[in-house]
Amino acid sequence: MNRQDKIIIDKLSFRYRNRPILEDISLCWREKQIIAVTGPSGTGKSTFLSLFNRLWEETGDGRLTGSIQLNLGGGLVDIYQRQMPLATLRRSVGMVFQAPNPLPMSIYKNITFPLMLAGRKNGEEMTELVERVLTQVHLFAEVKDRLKSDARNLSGGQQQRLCLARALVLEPKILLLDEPTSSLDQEACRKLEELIVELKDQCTILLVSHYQDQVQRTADLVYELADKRLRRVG
Amino acid sequence: MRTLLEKSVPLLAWAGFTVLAGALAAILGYIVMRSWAVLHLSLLFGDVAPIDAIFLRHPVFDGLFPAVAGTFLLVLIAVLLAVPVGMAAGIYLAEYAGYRMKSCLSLLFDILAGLPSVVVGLAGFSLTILLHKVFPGKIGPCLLLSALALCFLILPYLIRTTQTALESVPLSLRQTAPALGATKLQNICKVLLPSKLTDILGGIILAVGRAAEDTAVIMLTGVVASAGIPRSLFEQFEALPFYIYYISSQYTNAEELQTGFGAAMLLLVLCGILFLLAFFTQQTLSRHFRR
Amino acid sequence: MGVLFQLAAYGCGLLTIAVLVMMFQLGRPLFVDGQFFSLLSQVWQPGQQLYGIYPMIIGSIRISFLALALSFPVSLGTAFLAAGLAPRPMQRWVLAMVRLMAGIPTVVYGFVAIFLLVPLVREHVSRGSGLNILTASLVLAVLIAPTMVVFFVNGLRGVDQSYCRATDALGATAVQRLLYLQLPQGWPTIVSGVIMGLGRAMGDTLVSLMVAGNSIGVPTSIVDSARTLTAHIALVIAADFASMEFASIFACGLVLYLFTMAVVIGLRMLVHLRTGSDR
Repeated sequence: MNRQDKIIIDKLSFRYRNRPILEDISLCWREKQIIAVTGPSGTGKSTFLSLFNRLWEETGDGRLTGSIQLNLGGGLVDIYQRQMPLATLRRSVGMVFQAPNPLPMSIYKNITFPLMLAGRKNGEEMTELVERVLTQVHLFAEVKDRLKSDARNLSGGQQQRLCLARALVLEPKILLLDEPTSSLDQEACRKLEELIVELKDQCTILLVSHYQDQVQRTADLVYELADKRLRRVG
Repeated sequence: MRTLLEKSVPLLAWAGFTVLAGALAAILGYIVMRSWAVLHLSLLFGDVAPIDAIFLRHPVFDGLFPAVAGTFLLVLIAVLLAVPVGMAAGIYLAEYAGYRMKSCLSLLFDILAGLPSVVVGLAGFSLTILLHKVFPGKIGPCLLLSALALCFLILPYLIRTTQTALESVPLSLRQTAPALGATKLQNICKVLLPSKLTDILGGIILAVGRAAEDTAVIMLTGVVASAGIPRSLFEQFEALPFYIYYISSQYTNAEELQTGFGAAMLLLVLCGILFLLAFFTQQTLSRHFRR
Repeated sequence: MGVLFQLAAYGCGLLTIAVLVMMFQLGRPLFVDGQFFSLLSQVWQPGQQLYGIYPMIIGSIRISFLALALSFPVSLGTAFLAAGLAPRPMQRWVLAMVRLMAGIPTVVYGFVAIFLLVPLVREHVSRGSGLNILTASLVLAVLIAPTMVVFFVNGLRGVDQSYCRATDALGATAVQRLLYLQLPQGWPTIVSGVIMGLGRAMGDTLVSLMVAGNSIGVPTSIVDSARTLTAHIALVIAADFASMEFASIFACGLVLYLFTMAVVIGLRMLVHLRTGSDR
């Protein structure tokens, strides 16, 4: 463990719905790189990702031992300690899901929704912020005339980029991407991959994917999740 | 402003729940407390031996047995009348009816389900008057008419349960038997209905509970405070819920009131058992499905 | 066999219409010279040959709307707990409690109210008998709460799971998810629940018959005794078959029937609204 390590997994074991997913994993990762996790389907890659924002706690019973320490701005903290507020954690750890999931509201509202949850007031700077993140995901030019229309009217690729923008608006330290391109066509997929690489300067990215070529193109570190262990493969 | 709202909502939620839970605790606690002293066999049979009472060798005067027996007979007849008709109508809606006929009929059944029970009772009463005009002096308010009116009351529940149960059979199962050469009727009787049996059974049990607790319908169609056990379908009868209502306004001494609380406890336990039974029947089904 | 099914279904449908026809038939004296509509606005004074049901309509409306107003916040709060605010194991217990309440017979609610609630109201709120609109509304509020809670919970939980996950991942607290996602998304079902609750309150007979006092005047305050349409039907049933007094209960029946139709059609329109807006 050296000073630059900003994600530390320590003796982590996890059972989810009575199925062992991980057993005694210890790892250290530096910040601002892309870490990919591949592996056969059904080994719990998505569940693994949800350990980092504790989203699994919303859907089922799991048992976790060991710790995950992240740097959320003020030094390393164990995200499973008791006094860790879930809302704070999830605002610092963004997530994009396998299928685009825009909320049933306008494009503009989708982006400002997390800000509103964090208690920020609507105002001039919010409009600027929306423009900035939409530009960052190369979506602004396409939607600038219809920010007030329902987000569900966008194409699949546009929706997924919107979801990415929505995650970015809170300036997360870590971004979790769960097979983000699997429901997109080739063109949209290529755009999103380029985007992911661009984002590396801003935050650490954990990418789950079962496309080998995608992983090779984008990731700095590659692991395979199989048989309850993470094995470095690239 | 917004954070104030977010802070006050949990407060409101817990306060609301506390009020509701408190009301439930008060109701249950009060009934248990007041009926505790009379909860033994003599509440039902007075000083007649239970065996004699059940085989009608000896009438019961100061026990709840006639009311319990009346309710039992009433519900039995009503459910026997309603189940075949309700299931048949539910099957028609789910499997045979065209789109227009289906929406038209389900509108009518929704209205029937929504009618206040006193209106259903009034309809039963109207039927009594009409029958009285046709057969003067022969027919008055009686067990059969009450059961008929109760049957109207629970029909829409049975129809709806059967219909939704059949409609929720997954397509793959629905197509299996016809692919093997089964007729439509064979498919319904041998595959679709059996696969949803517990669902329908749960619905029937709930309908029994509904029929057992209703007071307004029978008040208008033939229940009386004291009649003994009816010997035919055309006699008047006693029933547990009506007895409770009657005692609440007409009790003359503390002992009668005690019996009233005993009756309330009895009805509560009866309905509680029916609801639990329905709940567990439907639970078994969902567990069966998950596997 | 198919024909038998059809027969049963048509029979049940006709039955619903027959109930309406039968009430028109027996309430016939009401419809000569348009008396039906004047009955709706007249008071009840048999001494002066006035058999109007206006006081009962007002009584029914006052009692059921007050019950709804009392029950709504309580039911919504309980539904909030069951749909996200309470810890997961407790959510199931809250729902189980609500189911249990739905299973308690109406007559038992009325019976307990007479001996438990009425004396309290008599001593602390009103001077008279304690049988009044307030008492009836309090009991009805508890009676209709389970119906409303079940609808509310269905509405709140019926929100698409992917929306919930998105909201959770953005760092929403349970309260925020309820307020900004589940409530705005589930409102048609919540409105349905309110309408169902109102229907139950309006249609209930036993509670108002037992604790509302049944006096025949037009109530002017919530501690006045009042008679509802449903209680009126139950009370007048024993009188002379040919009289106007007797015919008036069919007027009550018709009003309740039409009210039920309005409720059912209103609920249908809500369902259409929901499926219409859902792309």
